[in-house]
Amino acid sequence: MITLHSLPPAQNAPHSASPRPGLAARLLAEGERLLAAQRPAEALPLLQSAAEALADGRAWLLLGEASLQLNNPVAAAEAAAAARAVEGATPAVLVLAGRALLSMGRPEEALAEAAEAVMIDRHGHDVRLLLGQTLKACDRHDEALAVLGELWQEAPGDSGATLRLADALMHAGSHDAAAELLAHMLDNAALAGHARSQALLLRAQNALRRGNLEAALAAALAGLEETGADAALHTTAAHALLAMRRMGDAKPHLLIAHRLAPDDGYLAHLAASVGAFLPERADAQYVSRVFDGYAPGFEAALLGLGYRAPGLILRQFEALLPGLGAEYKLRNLLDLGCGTGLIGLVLHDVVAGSIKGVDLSAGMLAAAQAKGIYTELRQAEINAALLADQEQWHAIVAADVFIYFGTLEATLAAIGRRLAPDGWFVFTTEALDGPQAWELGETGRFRHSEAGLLQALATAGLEPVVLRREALRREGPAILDGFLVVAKRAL
Amino acid sequence: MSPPLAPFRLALSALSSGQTEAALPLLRQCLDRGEDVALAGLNLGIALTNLGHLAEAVPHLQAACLALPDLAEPRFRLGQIAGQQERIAAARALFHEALILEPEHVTSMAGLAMLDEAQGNADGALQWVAQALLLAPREAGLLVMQARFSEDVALCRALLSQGLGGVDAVKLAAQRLDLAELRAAASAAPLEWRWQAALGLAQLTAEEVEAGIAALRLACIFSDDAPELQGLLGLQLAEQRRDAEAEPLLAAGIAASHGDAELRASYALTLLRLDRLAEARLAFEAAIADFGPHPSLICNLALTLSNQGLQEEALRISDEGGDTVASLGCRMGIQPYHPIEGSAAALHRTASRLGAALPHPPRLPHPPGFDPERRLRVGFFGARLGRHPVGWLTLSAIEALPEAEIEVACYSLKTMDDALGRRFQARADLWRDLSPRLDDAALAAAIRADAPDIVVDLGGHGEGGRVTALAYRAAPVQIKWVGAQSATTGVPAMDWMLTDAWQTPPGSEAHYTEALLRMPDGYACYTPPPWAPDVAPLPALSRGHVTFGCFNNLSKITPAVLAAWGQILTTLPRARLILRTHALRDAPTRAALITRAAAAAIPLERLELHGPSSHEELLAAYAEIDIALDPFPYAGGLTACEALWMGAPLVAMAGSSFAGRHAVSHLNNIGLGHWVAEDVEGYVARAVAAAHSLPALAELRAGMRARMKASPLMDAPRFAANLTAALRHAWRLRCAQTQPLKPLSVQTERIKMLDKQKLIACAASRGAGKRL
Repeated sequence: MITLHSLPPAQNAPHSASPRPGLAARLLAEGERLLAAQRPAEALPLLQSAAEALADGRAWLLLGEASLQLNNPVAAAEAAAAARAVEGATPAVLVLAGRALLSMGRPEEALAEAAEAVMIDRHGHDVRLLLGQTLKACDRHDEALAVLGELWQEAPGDSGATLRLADALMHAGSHDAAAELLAHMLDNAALAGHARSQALLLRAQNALRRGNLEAALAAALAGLEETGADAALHTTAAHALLAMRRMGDAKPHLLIAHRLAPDDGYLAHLAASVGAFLPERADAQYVSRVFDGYAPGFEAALLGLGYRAPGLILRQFEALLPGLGAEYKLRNLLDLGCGTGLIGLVLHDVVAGSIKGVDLSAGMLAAAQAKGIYTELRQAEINAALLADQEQWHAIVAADVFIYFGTLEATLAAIGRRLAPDGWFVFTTEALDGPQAWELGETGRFRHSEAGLLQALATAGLEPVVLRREALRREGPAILDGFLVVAKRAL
Repeated sequence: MSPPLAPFRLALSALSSGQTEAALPLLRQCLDRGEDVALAGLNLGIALTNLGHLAEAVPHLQAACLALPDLAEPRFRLGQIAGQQERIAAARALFHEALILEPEHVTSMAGLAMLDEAQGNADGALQWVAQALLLAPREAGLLVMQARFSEDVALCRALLSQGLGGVDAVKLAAQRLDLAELRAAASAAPLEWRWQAALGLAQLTAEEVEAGIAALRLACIFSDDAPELQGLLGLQLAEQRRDAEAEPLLAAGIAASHGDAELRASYALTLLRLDRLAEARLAFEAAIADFGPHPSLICNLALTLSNQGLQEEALRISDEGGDTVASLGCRMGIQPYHPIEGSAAALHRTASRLGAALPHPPRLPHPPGFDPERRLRVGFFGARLGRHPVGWLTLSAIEALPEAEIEVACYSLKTMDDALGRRFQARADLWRDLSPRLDDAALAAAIRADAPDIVVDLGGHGEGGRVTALAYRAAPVQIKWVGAQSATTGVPAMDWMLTDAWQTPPGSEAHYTEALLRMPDGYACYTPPPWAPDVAPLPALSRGHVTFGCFNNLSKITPAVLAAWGQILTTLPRARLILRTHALRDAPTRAALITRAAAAAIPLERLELHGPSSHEELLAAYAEIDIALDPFPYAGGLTACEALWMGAPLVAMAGSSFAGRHAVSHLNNIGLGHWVAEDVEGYVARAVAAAHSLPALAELRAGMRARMKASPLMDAPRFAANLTAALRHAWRLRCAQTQPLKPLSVQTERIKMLDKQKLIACAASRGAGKRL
């Protein structure tokens, strides 16, 4: 149909708007309406305009709420700061700031906000909810249980409060109590929708955390029977099966979980590790999630497994550079995938200048920081860090890092560019016997062959000085075999 | 005391103060009294045009042409209306006539420019605009046209910066300026509605839906809710199917711009989707009167009438769309409900007309590498891969397809983020979201890019279905399955119809443009919803009377169906009938149904009507139903399965079309074939007999779920094995085809004539398991 409605040319075009009384209030009301209608993305620009036009903390608080719902805690924290500037540290402002910090993985700071809020409003629901959740995130489980338990007692019929208490019980290791609470909840046939799905998931996760793998699997499968396809339940089933070493049975669950949440790098990596894909390296999200989860007990676990790489690397330096430490030192050291700082711990005596650590996991970096050895610690993906780095390094170490990479060429080339002409590059990787350059194992780690390593080094302009097999650590009853490699820039 | 002003004076005063509606009775009064007839007629014509009553305006404007032979304006107005009705030659002649009378009639020049633009003559359009600008150099509307025809980006930018040109300038900027520039401009002038609106439109084009809607909303607020912007936002919300939000905005837009065809069409469609059927009907009828019989208006009016249960009127209106693909596709969606034209033979006739209007791509001989036994990539194509009859009747079978033999690809035209939609995603080895904005050829090409071996259509000619895209052939083998599977598709490149012996008994072949791919049991595999309540006890036992029920949509309730129900209720003086469907929300539609029911001798005091309910509530409502009554000639598909799952046996009548035999298939597959009648007399007798055997009914009800679970209707592994065999069979035949064949209608006949076993043996001997 031809639209001729512009003829004659429009004479009553809307006039241009300018800031005027009432406009900001209208924006705020409309933004609030959209937020209540669960359309945070549509509410956001309206609330942004309202907040900028009004000297009103409420607009900033709503903007922060929309940002949190859109998984943007940084913007939420900024909104909380703006709200604080307008109306001071009210409980609502503190709660928003605390929730944002919690979402950013900064529970201690969130707890400080929550504590301040409780000082002002001892009985406020949102205040106590934040307090309970931050205590839980800070591993102060007894206190968290006290707060969340109190909230639950005030509203025992509230499924949200019940789920939060069950979750806190699970994190506190009170698995029986969590299971009982969830069973009671699920017995209620009227419980439906999201709350029921969450209860089913928590029941399975609780069994998994308790180490009752069969029960975890059964609960996950029962949950799937009820809810249909659900990524989190499939993931839980898969974790239970992986822990039982039933890789083949875990595979379909991981595949489905990955299909349902294709943007989740952690799931993509796990699915790949059982043979669905051939990714060129582990997803950064996977690495950081795995290690954030492991960080508190990681070092003890590794050392308990007879982790030898730091010692091997130190001895290799000493063999290559007689007199190292006593007569002279390495000018500086870049520790790629530094983890909790075991390499720094072992090598810092032989380094004269700066020691820089790079890792994806904030939890690992926090543990490295506590050692007080590193001059700089950076949370970044290795390739990104190498790209941003301007230093020339006398020594670069990558211990047990390439087990998260399949194709090495690009990373090795980037390392070559940051290596001083007289610099040393030392790394370990798990060994693969076979014709291919690398493969992704069912453990989720990559293995590399000798031929593949030589080829990758040559392509990257690096020359191997040492390449030999070494036992890296125990895995179950077996000894995990790997390669120790030292390379220099090719002339 | 001064004498009262003459009506004409009063009318002019009203018009000049913008009270157009108020002027109408005064101008009509002039005509009735014979006062100032010529000018009153002209002004009445102009006023009616401005109010969007184009059809009503035409005779007044034509009279004004005769009465005022030297005046350009009535000719220009008639030309404007002709242009909106796509009568291009007439519009052009009228604009030229206006210019002969008044060579400086600027708006006629602009009208000619727009006609040239519509016909792809940008140079001609530009010349007319240049001529008009000499006379009205500051006219913003002309400047917008100049920028549009000349592709002058700088002018387009300047118009927006200077606040000229209204919504037309905004639309142009959204098309011509890139997103980054629009973002920067909107950010630099955060309270300026024009840049926000242009940014919003551009974001919507770039599929940034939430951001686009938000920007348009900001523009609306910044403009103090200018009606033009409300209309613009309403159009976008309607496109997103947010009808309740869109409706008041579209109404506001129309109030300021009655002659805007796009707003009027979208508003009427929104009313249809909101089940405000009587209002939708009026809105479509008015739009057709004012803007002409545009195919989409005709189709949607026909759909509205069909939803009201007016099958006769619906089909008559759909015929006004002519023999275009869109019109015939629409007719294929409506005709199966018609009591006479819903026969298999009549549907085949329409499908053949549709086929004649569609492409006939030749079926090429298979290229080297076709292997009859290799793993097949099978694409399932539709807009309702989720909680929809398509999901309930296909999903469990698709989930059970053997992974080693079938790679499942899903081509989804609409995101369905529900429990069933996630199950489709979970099973799909390959998932593609396709934009419904793509035209048929582009859709087929998008699917073809993945090189599926077989594509299964799950949309048909129903709402959201795009079966005509497969006319451009997306895969070497194409099969029609569930999803508005009411008749043959008529699509020449559709190779097969997946069916069963109940749906298409021997002899049905003549009514299908596809070859029939018969499953050994049923054609569908039912998944009951987990939220279905338990089967309730037979209500008649406690109530002392039988309650019949039909929860099918009103499109299926024909006069003959009502008459049969009338006979049943007359024979059983205490029996009741409950109807439950969304269209009964609409009060006029409900009232019309009551009138029709009364005419069919249904005792109204024993008739209970309910509007829409949630799926859970609908299933629970079967607790009140002893016996379900299936409609005809369009039988219940999913509704039949649901009635049975809730324990209510189904009295059905066998029709001839695919839609007419859904219940025949389902009932036979659960061992209740004797509940199918062959004619109305048998249908009534079956219902009456069942009502007289309450103990038998109670027993049947109590055992219905066990019966269904044990039947092929719900045996997903068995169905999947049969489906795999059927897909393999179709593929093997395709692999055996080594010669180029003529278009499909001929080709399918050849396939039918060949000895299929020989073909399979031939293909196998040439390299089963290897690449040929």
